[in-house]
Amino acid sequence: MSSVAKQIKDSSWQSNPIAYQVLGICSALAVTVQVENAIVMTLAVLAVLCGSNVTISLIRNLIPRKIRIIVMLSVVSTLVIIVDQILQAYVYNISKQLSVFVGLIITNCIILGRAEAFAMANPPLASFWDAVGNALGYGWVLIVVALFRELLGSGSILGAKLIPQAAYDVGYVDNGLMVLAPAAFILLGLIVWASKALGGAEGEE
Amino acid sequence: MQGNGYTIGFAAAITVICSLLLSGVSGALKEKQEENRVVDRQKNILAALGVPSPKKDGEGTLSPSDQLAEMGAKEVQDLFNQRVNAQVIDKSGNVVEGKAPTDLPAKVASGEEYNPELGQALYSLKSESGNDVLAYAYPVTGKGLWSTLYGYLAVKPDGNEIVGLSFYKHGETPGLGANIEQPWFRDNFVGKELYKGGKLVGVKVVKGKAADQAAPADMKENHMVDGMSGATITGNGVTKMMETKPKRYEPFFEKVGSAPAKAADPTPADAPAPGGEPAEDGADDGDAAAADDADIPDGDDEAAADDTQNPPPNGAAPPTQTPPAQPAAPAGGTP
Repeated sequence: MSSVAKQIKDSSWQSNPIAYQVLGICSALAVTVQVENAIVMTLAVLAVLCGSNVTISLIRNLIPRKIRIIVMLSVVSTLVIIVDQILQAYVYNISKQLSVFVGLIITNCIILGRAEAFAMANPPLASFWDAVGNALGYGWVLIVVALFRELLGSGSILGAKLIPQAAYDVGYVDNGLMVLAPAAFILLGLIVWASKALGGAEGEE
Repeated sequence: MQGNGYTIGFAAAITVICSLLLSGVSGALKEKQEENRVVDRQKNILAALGVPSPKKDGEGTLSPSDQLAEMGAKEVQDLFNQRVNAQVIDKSGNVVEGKAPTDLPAKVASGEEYNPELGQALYSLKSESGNDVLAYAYPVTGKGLWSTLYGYLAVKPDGNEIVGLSFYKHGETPGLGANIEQPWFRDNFVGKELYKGGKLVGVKVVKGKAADQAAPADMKENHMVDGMSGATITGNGVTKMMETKPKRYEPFFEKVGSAPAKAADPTPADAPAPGGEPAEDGADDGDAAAADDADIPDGDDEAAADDTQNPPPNGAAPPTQTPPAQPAAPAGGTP
């Protein structure tokens, strides 16, 4: 098990998909306005990434090399549509909020990146743990960014008001920049810096 | 290395497997999704109509949308069936007996297309006793930045005063244009009026605060709401929607007895408005088409409005540009 733990730690910390591999930035900007969206997005990516990594890994010896990217894309997009359909059927409100972004998981580079870089060359179980590690690595960055953006931009976390009305009465104003995409860039930059300073997000030289 | 035959065979197999999976999932979940959509629309109609009425709880007031969000699908449907009468009206405003909005093609039922032959949807809110109609809601659509905005507008039986507005489908930017579905934006419309001196003027989503606009006080109070920063074009879409879509329901409200035209309060200060208002809207639309949320044309808007209307409150505008307005100072516009 320790090797599994190490693998998860490696892929979510040392080679964090956002902070080190710099993948999936687009969706990291888009869904981090609210924590709830970030969590659902994390779960959706986790499901899709595990599904695609395991599937690709299972058929890795059958896939003709010439068309492997197209095959991966078909697998990924099928999974994404299934996730989208399930969200629409069971958590309609959240699916309404995420709307286009669920569909955009297809274009999330992390998924194709892991399929190409890992699942094509490794057995299903290892690919599964790689997917979990990467999805968690993606997820924690997303959620940390969302925590700051929702708190500073809307004064709440998970929809619950944290900044008291009294503060607004004295003149406190929510930071409008936090709601916009540039704020996510700034926060992501800070996270990359912080995680490098703490020994994460480092490549083996 | 495999040959071409294998590659083609593999591609075909993957395609078949994926499509089977997708059609299976979509078929299995279709009913549930459709039900969600219906309930969601019913929720929006109820929210626009202001049902259930705001309720006090320990910490504050629960708005209709808050309460609806807590309700299960069944509860929403029951409440809807109990209080709301879903009808179809024809082009001259008569209720078509035995026809429900669900019988209309989706695009007509949502108000996106208007077909005089098929009629249009109308939802009336019955009082608790079921004898009186408290308000009417009808579907409205507008064009936002990325997408069509679908919503419901609820008005008092006079067809003029707005009871509520809600949006159930759109593709606007989350955090910006998507704020049209937030209560803080929608609630601004409550109590506003669609008609002014018998003319449909709608409600304008302004840039910045409605109170800061250079316009007569009654325009600001009754026909303008605060804008959303970063979502000017979505706001313009809502403005356009509010000044055109109610027209379709005029025949009905004239039949109901209190035609909007008569209900609106005639203000003597109306005279300059028809000249000033369309010009202002025109400028705004041009701005929308030209570029994003640039604020530059705002100055022009205000200057134009100043010329025709009245001096701004607190002398905010350059005094040199508005000499003719000076004598008219007491006409109105002070907050």
